[in-house]
Amino acid sequence: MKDVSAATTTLSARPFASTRAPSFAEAAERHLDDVYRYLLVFTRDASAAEDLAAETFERALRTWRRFDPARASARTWLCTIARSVALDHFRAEQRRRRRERVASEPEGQAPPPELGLSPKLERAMAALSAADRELVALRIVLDLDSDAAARLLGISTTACTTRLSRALKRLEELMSNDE
Amino acid sequence: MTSDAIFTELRGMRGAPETLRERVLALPEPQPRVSWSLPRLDFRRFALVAAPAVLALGLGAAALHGVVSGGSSSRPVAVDGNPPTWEVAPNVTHSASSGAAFGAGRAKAAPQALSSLPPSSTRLNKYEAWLRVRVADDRLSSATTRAMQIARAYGGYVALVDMNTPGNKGTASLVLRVPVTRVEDAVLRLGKLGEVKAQRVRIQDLTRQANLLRRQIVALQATIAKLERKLAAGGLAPDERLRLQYQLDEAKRTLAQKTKTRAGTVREGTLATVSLAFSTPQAAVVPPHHPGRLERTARDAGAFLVRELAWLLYAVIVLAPIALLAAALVLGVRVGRRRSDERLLAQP
Repeated sequence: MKDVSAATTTLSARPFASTRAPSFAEAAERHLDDVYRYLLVFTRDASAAEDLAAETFERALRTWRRFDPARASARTWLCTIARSVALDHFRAEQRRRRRERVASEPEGQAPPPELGLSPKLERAMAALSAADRELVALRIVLDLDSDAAARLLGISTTACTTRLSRALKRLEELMSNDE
Repeated sequence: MTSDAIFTELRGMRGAPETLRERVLALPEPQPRVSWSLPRLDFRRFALVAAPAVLALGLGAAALHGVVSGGSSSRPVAVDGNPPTWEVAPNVTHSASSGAAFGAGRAKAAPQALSSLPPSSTRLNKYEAWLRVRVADDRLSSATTRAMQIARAYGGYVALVDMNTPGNKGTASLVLRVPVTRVEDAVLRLGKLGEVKAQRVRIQDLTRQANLLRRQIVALQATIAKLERKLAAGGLAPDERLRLQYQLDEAKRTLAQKTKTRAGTVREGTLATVSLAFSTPQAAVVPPHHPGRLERTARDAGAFLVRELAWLLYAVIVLAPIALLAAALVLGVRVGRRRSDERLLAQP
């Protein structure tokens, strides 16, 4: 197996394409897939990811005037909004689960894996924590550079790299154990 | 499965479904940016610019204050022996001083001839004069005695004498009351008892005040006469009589008060107060220091800077606990939120 820490260093850092502010339609067209994939990996729920992605762009539309391309790329900015939307979703889900427990209702089944990956990778991703999945989504799926990802998550670049390394190692272990 | 295979598979994930794409792309284009909107404030950049700007502003204000207040030298009264002409306006106070004793940073202390401001002969003036006269070591006692004689000779009197003479060296302070009409001559003669080191004359016109009081007194007298006539006429109801009697008593009381006040004002305008300080050369232990324009400017700027720092310190003392509390609150909320998010995301 290839050394994951070495693998992480090969991730290309995509520089900001331009400091010119794109139009909202341009940004939506260009980054919709990225936002959706990020939310899909983060939540592991296709319908939730779809709703959250729509909510993300609606929120982005409302706050578009605050977007400053000199501070972050449109993709990073959209991911920041998506993260906030996703966290709100997780909190709401947590409250809902608590209410259900209090009412002694049977807990609903976890959503079936819907990432569109191979079953082994789906199972391994499901075993990862949401935080690790988020990091994998940002750094691997979206190919965000470590600085941008660290800023988005509110952690240091070193912590970001370390956490990704651990997450990938765990992912590989889970997949190896599954074989 | 290798890392590369995992990366390839993850990066090959499907994109957004068409329904979502249509939903998002149907969103309208937001309003264009307002060109004159304020730039976003970066705290570090702001602090980097604001801190030197505030410092420069503070220093500039101090320097400006120093130049404006310290650099401006006051013009001393002419001391060429010829009394300057002064016109005293009603209710306006004129004061003039020279020498070092009555104003720091004033004219250079040097032996000077006495100047005096003549009081108006047609108006009521409150006249106050301060003189600082240096006399020879062995002449302090005789100069004091002579000053008292001069005051009496002009129809005045000595209100206070305080003489301190250890041996032949010392100081003497006198407060003399001299009729205003003759005070000019008296001051000139007092000045000749020694070397005038400093002087100050203050004239306040009391005519308007006295005239106002006189008009009030005349009006009150007329009111009293009218009330007395009404009471003497008779045929008044008891309560009406009582009311008029009360008004009469009030008017008489006010008249007495106004008359007393006017008498005091007239007395003030009749007798001038001359404060005289004699000193011998040895009595002046520390020669007064007279800073130059540059030194005055620097000193005033420094004082202003110290005041600025005091204000700043005061603001910091008052605001620091509030700011710290607010910062702690914000930090606490942020940390709490982050912990909560971490717990939330720690689950699969």
